[in-house]
Amino acid sequence: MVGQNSVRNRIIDGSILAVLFLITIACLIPLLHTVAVSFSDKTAADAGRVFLTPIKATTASYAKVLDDGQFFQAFLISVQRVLLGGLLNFVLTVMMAFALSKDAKQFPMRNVYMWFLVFTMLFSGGIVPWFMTIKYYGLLDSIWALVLPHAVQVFNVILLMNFFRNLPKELNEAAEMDGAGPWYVMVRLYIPLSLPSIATVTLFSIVFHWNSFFDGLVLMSKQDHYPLQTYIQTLVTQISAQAMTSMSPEELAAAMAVSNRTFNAAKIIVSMIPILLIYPFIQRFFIHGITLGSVKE
Amino acid sequence: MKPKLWLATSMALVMALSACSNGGGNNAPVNEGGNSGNAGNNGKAANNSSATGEGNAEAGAKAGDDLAYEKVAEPITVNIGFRAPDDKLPEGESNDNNIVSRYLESITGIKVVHTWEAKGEDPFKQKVNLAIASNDLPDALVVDRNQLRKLIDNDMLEDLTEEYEKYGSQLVKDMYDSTKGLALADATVDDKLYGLPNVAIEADAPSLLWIRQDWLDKLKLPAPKTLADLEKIADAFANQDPDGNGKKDTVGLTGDKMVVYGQKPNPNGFDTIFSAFRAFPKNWIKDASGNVVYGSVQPENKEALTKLADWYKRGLIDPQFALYKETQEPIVANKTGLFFGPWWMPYWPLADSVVNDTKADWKAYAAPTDESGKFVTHMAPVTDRYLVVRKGYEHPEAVVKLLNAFTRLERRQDPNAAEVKKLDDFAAETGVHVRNFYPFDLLLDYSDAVVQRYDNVQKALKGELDPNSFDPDMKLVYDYTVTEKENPKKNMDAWKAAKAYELGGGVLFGTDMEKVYSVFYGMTRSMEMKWTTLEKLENETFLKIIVGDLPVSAFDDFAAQWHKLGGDQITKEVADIVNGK
Amino acid sequence: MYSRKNALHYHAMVLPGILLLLLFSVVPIGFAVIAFQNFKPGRGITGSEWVGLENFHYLFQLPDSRLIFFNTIFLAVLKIAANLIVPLVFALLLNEVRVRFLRKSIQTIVYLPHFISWVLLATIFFDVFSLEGIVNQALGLFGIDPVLFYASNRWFPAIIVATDVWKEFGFNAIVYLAALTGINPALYEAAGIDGASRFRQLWHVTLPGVKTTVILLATLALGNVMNANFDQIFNMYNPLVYQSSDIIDTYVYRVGLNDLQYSLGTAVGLLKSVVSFILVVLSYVLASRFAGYRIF
Repeated sequence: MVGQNSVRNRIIDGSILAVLFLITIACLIPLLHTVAVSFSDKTAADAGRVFLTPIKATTASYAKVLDDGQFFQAFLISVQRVLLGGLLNFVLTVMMAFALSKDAKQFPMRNVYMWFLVFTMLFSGGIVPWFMTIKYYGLLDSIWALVLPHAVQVFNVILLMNFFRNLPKELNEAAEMDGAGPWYVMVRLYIPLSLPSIATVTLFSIVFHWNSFFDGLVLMSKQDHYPLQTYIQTLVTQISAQAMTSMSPEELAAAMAVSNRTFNAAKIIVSMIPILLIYPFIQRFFIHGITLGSVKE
Repeated sequence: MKPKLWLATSMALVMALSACSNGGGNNAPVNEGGNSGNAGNNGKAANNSSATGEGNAEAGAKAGDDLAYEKVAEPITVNIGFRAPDDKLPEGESNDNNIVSRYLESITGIKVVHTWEAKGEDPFKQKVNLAIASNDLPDALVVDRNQLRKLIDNDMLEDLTEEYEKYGSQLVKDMYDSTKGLALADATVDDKLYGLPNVAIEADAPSLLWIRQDWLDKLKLPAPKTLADLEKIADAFANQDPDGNGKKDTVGLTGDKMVVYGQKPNPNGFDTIFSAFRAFPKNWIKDASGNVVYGSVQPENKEALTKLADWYKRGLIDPQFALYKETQEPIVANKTGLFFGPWWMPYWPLADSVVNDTKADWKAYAAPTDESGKFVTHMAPVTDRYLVVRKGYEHPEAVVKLLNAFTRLERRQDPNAAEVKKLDDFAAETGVHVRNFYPFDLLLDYSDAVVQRYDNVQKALKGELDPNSFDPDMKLVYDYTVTEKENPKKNMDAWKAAKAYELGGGVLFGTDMEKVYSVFYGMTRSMEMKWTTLEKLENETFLKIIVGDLPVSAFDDFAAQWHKLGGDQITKEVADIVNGK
Repeated sequence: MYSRKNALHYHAMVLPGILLLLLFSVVPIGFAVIAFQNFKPGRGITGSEWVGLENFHYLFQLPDSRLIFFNTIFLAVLKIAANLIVPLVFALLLNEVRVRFLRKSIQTIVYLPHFISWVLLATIFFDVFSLEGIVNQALGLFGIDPVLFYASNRWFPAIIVATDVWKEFGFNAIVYLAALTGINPALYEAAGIDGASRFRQLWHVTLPGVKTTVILLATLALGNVMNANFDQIFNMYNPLVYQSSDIIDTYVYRVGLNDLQYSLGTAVGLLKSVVSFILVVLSYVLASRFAGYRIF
């Protein structure tokens, strides 16, 4: 019977792997295509002749992306933004999630706060009011304009709060019996026990800050203050049909000369690399049941 | 990078040149222009003496220009929104403090401060829109037509009528006059001038037929003239394997999902087919009895649509034309040898087509013609950008003075030869375009510059003009033309410029075409509420008729609906404006 | 176990965030009153004329309003459902893989498409679905005539949903994977000893373990019921398929771009906010009544 089971198990394992393998390929091909395009000659790529191997391989697109000092300046600003924003998100998310994971008996105002969060998550005033507000605070052209408005990621708070609530209550109670205060419980018990979920929300917040480009465009007055994604976006902005008809022929020709697939592809690859490097570190926390097993029940 | 400005300089020179050679000039009411243009042509040799000459040219103009170019007594600061270029300045120079900005400040006494900068069309537009929405305009900036209208509606702009009259230089005024008052009228509401417009190039409007001549020759087909010729060629290109690879992988005529562009065309508009039927969609025109009507709802469109739908059904038009994200794809991929586009197609996308297939030999034709054998085309607005000043700014004259100063520099009429030489040397050394660092991205141009330019290059090639009298930019295009003649398709930059002028400019120069001007380009009250809906209806109807999703008779329903859904009201408003309220 | 002192600490933990939200989220919402005005930037909010619900009225009386509302909700709902289910199934499958190296590699690769922009993906998918594209070539093998997918109002919505799922499932699976990580291995061991088959383990241990996460994500996702993804559709659609894929956002973009209609844009935003708020509250109530689970 054991043998039968293991044969069946192997068949199941095998088919699961096969399915996952196909899915992975489906995800990989466009990516390889992007890489191939980024290393290809512009005209070949524009004609749609590049599939998975570069044609007339060239690093011209990368040279253009990395062209001058401004790339690294923008890179540094992005790093600064991710560090500041990520840290702020981390601290605020953990604190809020912890406090809100208490029920209304322990924290009477909890529900009021909670609905306030949900409200701010779902309502927005639109871009013009948002711009006017930040201008009113005098934050235009400052790194804080990129960080403070996104200091609380409500989605992440709710996510983490739910994970916190799944931790056994007895843990909290036992610690409090021993005279531990809420801050101690949060830092010494909740955080170590929730590393996978904290890693998840931290990843979300890093990716969010890294990928945002629109606020940089609107809120920064000088190009020197653009974060990387904004800078990369302005290297070539998508040429809309409306823009096409209002541009002069030579402007358009110039824009088109750089607005091609190879350049766009190189931009994507360059901007993905830092995230790629970070991911394995974060992934370490996803190893099955690292510490939870030992404490749960 | 804004090669447009580069072109303009050269055009100014062509203008000046023709002024010299024709002994007066036929299109620009130049009085002292001939004189100063001459100074420009002689390049650096021109010095203070020409400035004196200019100053003494005419008593009436003298006072005006003295005031126009006079350095302001007290330093003035003007805050602007700046469209940042792609040019890479050398170490130590910045967008708001560089050799160009310092020079302009030194001659005008006006300090330009960049409140904000944005690079590229869309980001700049975005910034301007936000500035308008939050009522936080810099002192001066360049806006587009819609933004201008919004700003005027909201009473956010300074009236520049007096400042322009008093401080505008003769040069600037001449160029506005060359549009017969159309340019200024475009920025004028209730007799108040709210913006200083650019002057666009007329040659951008006609959409020519571009053909792979090598395919045409291979299939032994004659050059096209009529719609029937075009039909035959499209059929042959789609079905007779013009690229000779034994596969049926070519298409006939390509198109764009916009169907027609209406004003300034890009590749693949069907504008010319419509105008061959004397239909002018997307333009406000006067009908036979002199009434103002909207071009897209006139019965002539139906004939053009019938033809196009028939072609599409028979596979003469690229079956996927409406789906391309980027319209140039089949051209660049050399799947087609037949499309419509304006004179500058060699700059883009044809250069890419030739790189992909060096056998590609493109030619331009003014075809198809209408029944009477005439090439008919709609025209484009003379202006689409406006330099405006925030209401309440204390020194609107400073903005006019800046425009005077950099326009004079751009036209190479600046008498400060030593300084100009420094700028030229800087440009040559660094590859930076001086004009991209003028405070405002606003170019004044004589509107028929392209054909003039073609004419002069050809004359120089024949030895009728001395290319050494050209300024550096102009010389470059001449040189490119020579380079291309000697070594065809070796240097693509040379190919682009040479072919755009030789083919595109040449056809425009050599064709006697009927130009139909739109009588109105702006927006009316009702349009504001209804135009999007009407336009959507129009675009979808035209497209669907062509691809066969709708029968041709759907055009009549569309026209009827258009009138009902507000078109009549809008037509009345437009007519009122055109007929002077 | 209520302790006043603890509650004080909880307040202290929440307040900095609440303050920032007040400053940067609530204040701008206040400005959204321009949705009820004919907002003239030159005159500001206090000087602009109040028009009541006229902007909303305008939105609903547009000849196309029924179509764009339908398209928006139809596409959004399909996407919400697919984006909940596909990542879950994927995470469950991945969870069955015992080889750590494979698991990590697969996980890394599938989340990469999230980082490719729609601008580029649109061109890739265009090639895939074009007349000469892979899909049509495959159909050709079965003797099926090529289909112009991008021009077909029947196929295009399916393509929109499928490509969106393809792009996001790896990233969306991250939350599920974190939740799966939190399941006590002892439960599996116990089930294993009882001789439960893998399917039974899945049913009795794994699924209950992620149930709360599914409910949570589903509820939060309802906030997107009016967001069908502007970026994607704007980059992929064309006039031939407006009928099946023109959504509120793309429509307003085209209106707004022409006319700088601030009030209309804000009205649309507000409308979307109200609808999503109502839906989220509704699903919160449902979840707590039927699943006994309080999300917030």
